[in-house]
Amino acid sequence: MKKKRLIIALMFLSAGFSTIYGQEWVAPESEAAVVNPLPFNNATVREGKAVYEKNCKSCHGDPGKNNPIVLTPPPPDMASEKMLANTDGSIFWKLNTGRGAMPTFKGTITDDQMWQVINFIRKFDPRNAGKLTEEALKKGTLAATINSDSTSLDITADFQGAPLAGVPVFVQVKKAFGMLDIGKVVTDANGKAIFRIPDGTAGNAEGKADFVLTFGDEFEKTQAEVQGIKVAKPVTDNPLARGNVLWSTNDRTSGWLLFAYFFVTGLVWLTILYIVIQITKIKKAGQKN
Amino acid sequence: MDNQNTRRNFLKTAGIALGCLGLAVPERVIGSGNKVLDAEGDTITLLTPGGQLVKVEKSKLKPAELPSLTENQKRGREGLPIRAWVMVIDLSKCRNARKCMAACQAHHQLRPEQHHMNTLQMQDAEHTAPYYMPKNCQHCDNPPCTKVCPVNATFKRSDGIVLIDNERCIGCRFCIAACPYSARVFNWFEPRDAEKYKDVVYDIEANVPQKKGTISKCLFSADLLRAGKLPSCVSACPNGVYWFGDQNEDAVTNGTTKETTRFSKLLKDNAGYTLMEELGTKPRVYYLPPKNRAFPFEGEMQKHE
Repeated sequence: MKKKRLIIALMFLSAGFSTIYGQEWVAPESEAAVVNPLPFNNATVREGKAVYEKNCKSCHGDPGKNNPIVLTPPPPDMASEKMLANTDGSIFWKLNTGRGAMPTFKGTITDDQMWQVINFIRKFDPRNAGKLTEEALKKGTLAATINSDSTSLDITADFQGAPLAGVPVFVQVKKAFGMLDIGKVVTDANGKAIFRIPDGTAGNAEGKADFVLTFGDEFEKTQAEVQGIKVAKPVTDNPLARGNVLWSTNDRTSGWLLFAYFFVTGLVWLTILYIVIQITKIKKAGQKN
Repeated sequence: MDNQNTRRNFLKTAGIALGCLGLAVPERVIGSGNKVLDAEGDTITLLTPGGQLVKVEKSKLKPAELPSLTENQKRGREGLPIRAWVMVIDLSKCRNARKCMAACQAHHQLRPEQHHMNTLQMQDAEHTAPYYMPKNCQHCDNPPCTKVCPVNATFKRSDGIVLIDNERCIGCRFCIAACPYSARVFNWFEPRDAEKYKDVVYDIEANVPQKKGTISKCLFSADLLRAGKLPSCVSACPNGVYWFGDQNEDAVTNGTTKETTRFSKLLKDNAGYTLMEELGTKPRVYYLPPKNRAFPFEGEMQKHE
């Protein structure tokens, strides 16, 4: 009976799916006509790429590589003709609405982020070929030292002796499996900046932190490191290292527990022994009489 | 005279035996090498920690300094210094891809029905929304399981990981009874690919090779952590469910996006919680509630009426 019901349910379900997926997913005309408010440039495409990798890539795969996850129907490749035939407005509408396995991203990412993603997808549109000129990466060198009382980093940014003014420098702390962003400073006219280490910056168990400084994406990859700066109190007491056992092999058992056990057991045995001695005494006394 | 004869005979036999042993040694070395499976001609077949077989040219191999079984067991008992590992599982991201389970079973030589990591379908009350919940060993700071072990086979390390030594385990299953999270599995049968792992030296930090009649459990992929890598479930997740890191550093890294964030802030902003905190087990695995899920629940809840 249960099986029958399940089969019927499955039939209905599959019928439902086929009717949904049989139809083309078309945005209403008014929505499809909405124009992307963001300019199509390197900055928005770069932002869009970051949003795409975090929210979309797990299903849709890498654009142009046709490597989506296995789903029926398969999530379309972002660089496919079918995908790029959508207007910006209709992609925006689809991101907001969702259908079947494609969730709605309303509330998950902001409108701006959606437009950024759309710009990133448009990068693969052949109509946009040549529109994005790859800017040559700027060059620069970074140097940093810690000030005398370990509260701030003195940063110098220059290129071949000339100071780099008004350049953002990103500060990160090295952690076990990645880099933790802790802030950003902009260099002044002399190419110098002072980064105050925020209160509550966590170090490792020894209270020390390794700082890594980098320029933004428009620069060639370069970084400066300031290592082993004391930022917090070391963790002196590690409760995890204490053996936490009630009763186990002798070398792991707490002393008080072993003592208590042997003391009580000994007491019981002594009592029994005393009683046995007393009984034998009574017996001997009886034999005398 | 008879006496001398026997001594001479004895020495002769001993000499021959020693010689044979000497001849046998190179073979033994290859046979006992960690994860070496088969050697023929110029190539050699190796088993990667991910459970895949690869063929490598012999000339490209360098002899590695492999810890012996005893050294491995000793090293495995001491945690990685200055670390306190924590895991954060974001339930709002889990959509039952089950990639974590597959990666875990491949890494730890587990049969399909054995789970160090299991994705459960949860519904807390009749009218609440169902959700998926990956559940592994909670690596409690106050573990009930280690306290009941009569042979000191399971223990808590200074970096927070609860491990089991399959060489010591006698299979009494007291720890299974003690664990409130049902995190431990028992090897009732020969483990998966037993033949393939037959000559592999036991690694306490991966529980590989598994042994029939002993307990196995999640160990945060301690062998990978020693190598500076994220646990296999964490890096296998396609949906950004897992965060993993060092509590001493107050930082956790997402296995999917590789984004690093502050552990305390992540818990504070998302109202993180631990499972069955009323038991006082103090888990090292934290959960973020399944709110704002951007996908439908596709499972079928079983009715227990």
